[in-house]
Amino acid sequence: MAGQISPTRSALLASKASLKTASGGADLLKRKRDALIGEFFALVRDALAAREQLGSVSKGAYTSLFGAKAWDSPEAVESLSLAGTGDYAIDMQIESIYGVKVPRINIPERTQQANFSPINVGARTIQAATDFGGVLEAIVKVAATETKLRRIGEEIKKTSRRVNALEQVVIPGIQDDIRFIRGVLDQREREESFRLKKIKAKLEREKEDADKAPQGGQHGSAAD
Amino acid sequence: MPDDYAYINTRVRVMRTKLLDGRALDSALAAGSYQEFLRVLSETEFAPDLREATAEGAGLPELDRALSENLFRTTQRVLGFADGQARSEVEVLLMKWDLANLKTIARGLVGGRGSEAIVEGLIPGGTLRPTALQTAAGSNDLASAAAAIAVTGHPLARAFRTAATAYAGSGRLLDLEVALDQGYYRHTLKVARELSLRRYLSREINVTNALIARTARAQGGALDPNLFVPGGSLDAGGFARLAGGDAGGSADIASILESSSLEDAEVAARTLLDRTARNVAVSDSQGPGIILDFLRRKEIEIAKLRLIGRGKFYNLPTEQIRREVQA
Repeated sequence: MAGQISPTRSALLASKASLKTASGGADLLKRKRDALIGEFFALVRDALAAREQLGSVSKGAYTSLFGAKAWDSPEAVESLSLAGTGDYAIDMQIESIYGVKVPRINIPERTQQANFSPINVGARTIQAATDFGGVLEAIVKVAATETKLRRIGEEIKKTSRRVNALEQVVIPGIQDDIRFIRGVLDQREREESFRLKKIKAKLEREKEDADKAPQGGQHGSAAD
Repeated sequence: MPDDYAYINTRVRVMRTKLLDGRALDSALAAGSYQEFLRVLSETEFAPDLREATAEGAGLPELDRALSENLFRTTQRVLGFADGQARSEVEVLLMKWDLANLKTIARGLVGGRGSEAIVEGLIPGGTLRPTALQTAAGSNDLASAAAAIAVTGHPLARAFRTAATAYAGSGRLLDLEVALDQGYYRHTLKVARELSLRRYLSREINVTNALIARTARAQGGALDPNLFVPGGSLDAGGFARLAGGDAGGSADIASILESSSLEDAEVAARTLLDRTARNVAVSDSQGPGIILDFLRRKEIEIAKLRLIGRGKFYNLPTEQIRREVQA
């Protein structure tokens, strides 16, 4: 970079301004990263709780299904699965956490009313259907927290890369430029001062010569 | 007519001796693995059905299929013994699988599932011909499916048509299924001339109503009066009072309503129906009581084998499976 920059005073001023901006940017990004890390760890607790809930709800649901398939026959349970439309509407909004777009999912209130007749359906099958409703809710909760976690994690990685790029590449590059420009300008100053000294010495020598020359002429004419 | 039952009951009594006894179930429970469970089972009457289930790579679906085949072959065999009025009454006992199949078709058509998915969910039992069920499953709408069932002249065809009309009116699958269930019970009570069968069906209806009320309480919802099944000892008012825990002086209903969980309620209901079937079998040796009791025992046997099979497949502790089997 130093080779491409013109070593002028205005370039030096511009580089100094860039250095200030880059340092400020790096500080800001570091603060953003720290804030995101704080948010990340707060979310990790929620994500772990959601996973744990999913695990326990699933265990109960599969136990119910185990009993339902045995007592009410697998065919009867599978027949009931045809009754569902397969649609599950959720209310999802996008919110911004330190500029990171994350989903906020509001899980709708679960209706206990099944869309099939409970007449001639075993209690275990009804229990299994209810339990799997809970599993669906828990899955959505896990998906919401883990998507947030993943987005924030990616942003932390991206921010860290940017901070590293600024601290390891951009700022040292600008500092090199400044050093190079300063070096060249100092060199130029030294050369200028040396040139001025030479001129001064020459001028003084010429003056001395000029002062000596009339004295020599008078002596010659007297001899004549 | 009693002569009919004398013959059928003799045949059924012989079949009853072939049901797995407690010792055979204990051997199945004691099996150390799923493979050993299959080996124990293949030394019983189930051997011819287990060819697919014991093949390499086979799992629970194959076992379920084998047990279902055994159950429904047995029911068809019992039906084959009967004729005339006795046949109509035995058919009533098998019609709950027709009801299940009609519901599967209705659910599939309403949910927009393909005919293949619907046919896969059909139970290979009951009294409806498989071709009629397949035709109904391949229909474009409920009205066509109802017409396909009506062609067979099946007793539940009318109930199915009424149910399809109920769905057309409200657009709710629940209304369709409730109409179908109520139609089924109406028909069974109409056909059951034998006092013992009527007594059993009436108790089954009481149990069903009590379970509906118990389920509604467990789910924290209000008891829907439309779910009431007439034909038992309760009227619509008595059904509504079940929501408040009033069993109307019936100890049977009280045992279901007062159970601590839905599972316990189901266990209480099953115990009650088992006891009723046994009493009916003892008191009605010249009627359908013995057949009713046998079919119940056979269903319970299959359910227990499904439980043990699942327990062994998932490697659950024997004690846990035993508790579930004895529930």
